Amino acid sequence: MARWEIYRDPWVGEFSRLQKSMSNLLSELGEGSTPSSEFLFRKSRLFPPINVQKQQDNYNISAEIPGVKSDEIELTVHGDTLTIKGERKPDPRDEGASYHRRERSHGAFQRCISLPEKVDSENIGATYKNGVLTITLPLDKIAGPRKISVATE
Amino acid sequence: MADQEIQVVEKKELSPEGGELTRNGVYFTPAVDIFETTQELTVVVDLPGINPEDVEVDLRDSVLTIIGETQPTVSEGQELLTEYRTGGYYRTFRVNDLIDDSKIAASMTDGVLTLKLPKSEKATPRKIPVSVE
Repeated sequence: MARWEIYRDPWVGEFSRLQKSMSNLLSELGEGSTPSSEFLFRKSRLFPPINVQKQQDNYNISAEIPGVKSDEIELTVHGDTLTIKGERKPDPRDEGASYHRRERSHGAFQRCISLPEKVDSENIGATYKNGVLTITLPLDKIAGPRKISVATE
Repeated sequence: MADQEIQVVEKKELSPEGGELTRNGVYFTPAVDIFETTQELTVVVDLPGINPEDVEVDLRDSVLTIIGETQPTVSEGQELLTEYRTGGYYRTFRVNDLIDDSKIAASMTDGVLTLKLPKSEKATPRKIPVSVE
């Protein structure tokens, strides 16, 4: 009488295969291994990613935008919206060059950031060094709490 | 104007598969463009936030190593939003021996390192003229 070998059961094999490919998918989510997997799970984030820091007297916004000239970055403030706009141009290369890797993205970018109202928008400063744009927004000192003296009548 | 939008690619932290780095700190894998002409190989690396004097480029035993060291930043103030992480950069490539080791040029502006690796004599195709008799 032939023994039914459990591990040859087609259902068991199928489930374990499914489980393995699910765990592969989940581990890929965690590590973000290949650029192709990022296409599926990319959040719709805006370029450039920014870090915002609040210091004693100002806000600091920094963004990594390597490879643009500082006069090619357009920074405008309109009301309470700060807009960072520019374009990363593709590398100059000769005709007939063949690419082995193409990982750096290029193209136009525009990002609008709404500023907290307490910012002194007249005195916003920005510097661009080593590909990092740093925007300093001084806090509006006048908007601090104001003492109102009570007069006696 | 460009007709395409730039894409955000999340930074990939170096995974210690090929052996751990003995250095301290966080290292990321920088994005590169590599293209080749008949004369040379060009490697363009995005290294934002790294000073040019803190970049090491090394080519030995057919392995090209690019390391960008970052100064540890003291963060003053309160972090309200952190969409990207900062750290050093590390990447290696196998380069075959068509490259002339002694003639590599490296330059860096605005956080972008450009390496030009000229191909050695035996690699550049030479046209042999055929004379008609």
